[in-house]
Amino acid sequence: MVQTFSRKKGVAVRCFFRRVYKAKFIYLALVPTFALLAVFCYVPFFNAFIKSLYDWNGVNYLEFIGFDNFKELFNKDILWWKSFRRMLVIVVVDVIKATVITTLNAVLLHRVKHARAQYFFRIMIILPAVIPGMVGTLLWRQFVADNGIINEILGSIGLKSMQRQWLGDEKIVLFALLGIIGFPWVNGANTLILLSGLMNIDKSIYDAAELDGVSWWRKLFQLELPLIMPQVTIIIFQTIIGSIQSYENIQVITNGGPGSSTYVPGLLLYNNAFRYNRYGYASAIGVVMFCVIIVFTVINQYVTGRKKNV
Amino acid sequence: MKKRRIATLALSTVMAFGVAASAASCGGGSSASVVTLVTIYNEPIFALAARLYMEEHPDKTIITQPIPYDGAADTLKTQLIAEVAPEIMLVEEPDDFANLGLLLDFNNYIKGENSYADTKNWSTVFEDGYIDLAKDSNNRLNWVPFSLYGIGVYTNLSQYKAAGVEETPETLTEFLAAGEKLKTKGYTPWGVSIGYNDAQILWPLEMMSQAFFRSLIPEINLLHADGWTFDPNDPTCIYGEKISPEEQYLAFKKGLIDPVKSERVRSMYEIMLKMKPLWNDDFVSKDGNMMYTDFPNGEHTHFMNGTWYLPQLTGIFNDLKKGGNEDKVFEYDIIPFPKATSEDTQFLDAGAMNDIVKIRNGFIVPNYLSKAKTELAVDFIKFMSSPEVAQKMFALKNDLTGYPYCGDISLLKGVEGMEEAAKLKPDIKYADLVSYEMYYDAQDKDLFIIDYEKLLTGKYTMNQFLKARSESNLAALERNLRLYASMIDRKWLDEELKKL
Repeated sequence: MVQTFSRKKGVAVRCFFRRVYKAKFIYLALVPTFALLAVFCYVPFFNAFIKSLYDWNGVNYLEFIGFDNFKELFNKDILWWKSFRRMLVIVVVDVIKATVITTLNAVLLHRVKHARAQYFFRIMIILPAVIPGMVGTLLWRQFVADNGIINEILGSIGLKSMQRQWLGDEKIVLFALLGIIGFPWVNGANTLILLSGLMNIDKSIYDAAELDGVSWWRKLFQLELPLIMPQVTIIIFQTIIGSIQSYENIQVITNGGPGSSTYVPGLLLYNNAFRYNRYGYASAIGVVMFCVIIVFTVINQYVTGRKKNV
Repeated sequence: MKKRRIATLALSTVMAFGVAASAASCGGGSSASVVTLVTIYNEPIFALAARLYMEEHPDKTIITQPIPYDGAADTLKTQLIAEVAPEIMLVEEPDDFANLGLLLDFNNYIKGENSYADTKNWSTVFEDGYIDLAKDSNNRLNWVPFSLYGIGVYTNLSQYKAAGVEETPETLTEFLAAGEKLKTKGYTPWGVSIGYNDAQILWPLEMMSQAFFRSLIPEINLLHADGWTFDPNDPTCIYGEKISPEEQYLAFKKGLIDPVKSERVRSMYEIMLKMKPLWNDDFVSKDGNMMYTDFPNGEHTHFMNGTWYLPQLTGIFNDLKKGGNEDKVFEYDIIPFPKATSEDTQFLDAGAMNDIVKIRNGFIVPNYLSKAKTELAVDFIKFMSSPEVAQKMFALKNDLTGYPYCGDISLLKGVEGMEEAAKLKPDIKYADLVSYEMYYDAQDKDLFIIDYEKLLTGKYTMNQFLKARSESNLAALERNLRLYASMIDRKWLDEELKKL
């Protein structure tokens, strides 16, 4: 019995190596990619886990402190929980912005029957992607300044009472940021992903729906949306990861202020690593953010998986 | 055939790596007669010095290389650790680099000859006292200082005239009264941004903290030089003295500089609150960088800034004149920041507030260079600190603006900078040794700005603010004890703490 098993195992190993040898050029071609990934992604990634257990200034001070960085983060850091809650709000709003408007645009584009017109709109919707996002961010920072165009317009149309210190008032600054980052919230790439999903729906399904006299809205909610759910899932997944990691727009516009009202975990991580030289602590923040992303991903998979089954 | 091809490929790869590695190690600077000077600003004046040096020494090469100011410290620190840093670096804060233990100690050179300045003692070319001031708490001279900066209040005299302000305010009370007159005429007396990029919120506090805590210096500076005595009226008595992290920590634990326990700290912030009505309404959301153009646009009457602003301001006014907008150019003056008096606080118990005049920058050299490279680097620094060469550097004008590149005050005797810069170099009348600081590391600074914003916008009461500052200061001081563990006298600190 044992002999048979070891013989079977030996055959399987030989088979495996034979198959690898047969496709040796493919494997060799993959080596540079994965070698670079290992050096620049995997090693720093696992290193961050280890360094999160150290008090490390990134240069010449390294002391093992166990879970003290995590204890400080959860118990002492006055910015952490507030920025974490803020991050959740941003994630939810970003997901809504990324899915609702994009889906609506994709469906509308899909319903444009004139091929040339649809092509034109596809080009126009992807065109803004060539403008660096930071340019828009910097422009908006000027627009929402106290003497910026937004307050000027409000003043000129008789809505002086609505003029605000958009970036100076702790109560409204987060909403101002949510509004201006990525405005007008049209993501060309995501729209095209959804559009490709819609275009892949079998025409016979539409024909059947037509015969049954299905309404515009029913077609959208009961036919198209369920069928493009894999694409929507990808967009949600990407948006969640992007939102959790994102801090650069906030850094440019408010740098976490006024007060600490726009701090997010990404900015906290950046400041601790590159401004305070607390690389160990920053690694701990990174580890927690990684765990949060995993949790969100699992929830997303669970919810969308259930929808698919339904 | 196949094997030969593989062998050829392997050989050529190894050769390519070899050539690349040798090229990298040689670069432009491996030769003993070549050094590189990295600058964070005003590169043309250093390029001029390099050219003059190479004219005198045709066998030597000085390469000047500008790097962006933002992030320069991190870049250079990383290069120092990797032992690939340039041979000479112009920096603003040498302590950050000195902590790495990789800097040359200029004490070995500063008392020696400088043939370019025709002196047997190089230190004599510098203004008195600044070489001592440049030393760290361990008496090491980690850099050769190059220029000074002064801080003053750029003042729009046209708005003064229009508002009927006839006398230049010298005290805070007079400043507030002038501010009221300006406000009545519709002007914003003082343009301020409370964000991270406007030091106007820090300089008045710095000036006050030095004066308000002056009488406590003997109680705080315990690890002083043998025989040191403190005379508040003698600015030179603190030369060579620094408050070390363990002294700061002990002073905090004693309650001398703890914001919750110290009435002196409270007094400083109460004065700042009194000045708040002079500020622009959008001081919370305003970007500090905007202040540089807001002042010449006439949006504020006062703008507190340093010598480095002079070339920029004169450049802006010049452009306006060239563009036919002479009516927009106004007369301005640079006045000392108005001082607190006994009307404002009871803590001026050892002299009044000094103005801010400090070393702005200097040259550092790594300590791991070959002897020949070190000698060349030091020789070039000596060359730049000869009055004749330095005068040419300070006088070099920017063709675009018609004004000198460098608005700083020269630290070398007999070398003149921009004429207006002299106004920012007042006499220092009292001894200043920084003991209470608003923050003790970068993290503490960010939290300070957050807390300060809350205080100024009414989100914090004074007590809440001081409590938050106390907690943040203590955490920073503890971090510093850990970070500088190898440099602090832990035994002394533990013994002193036991006595409390």
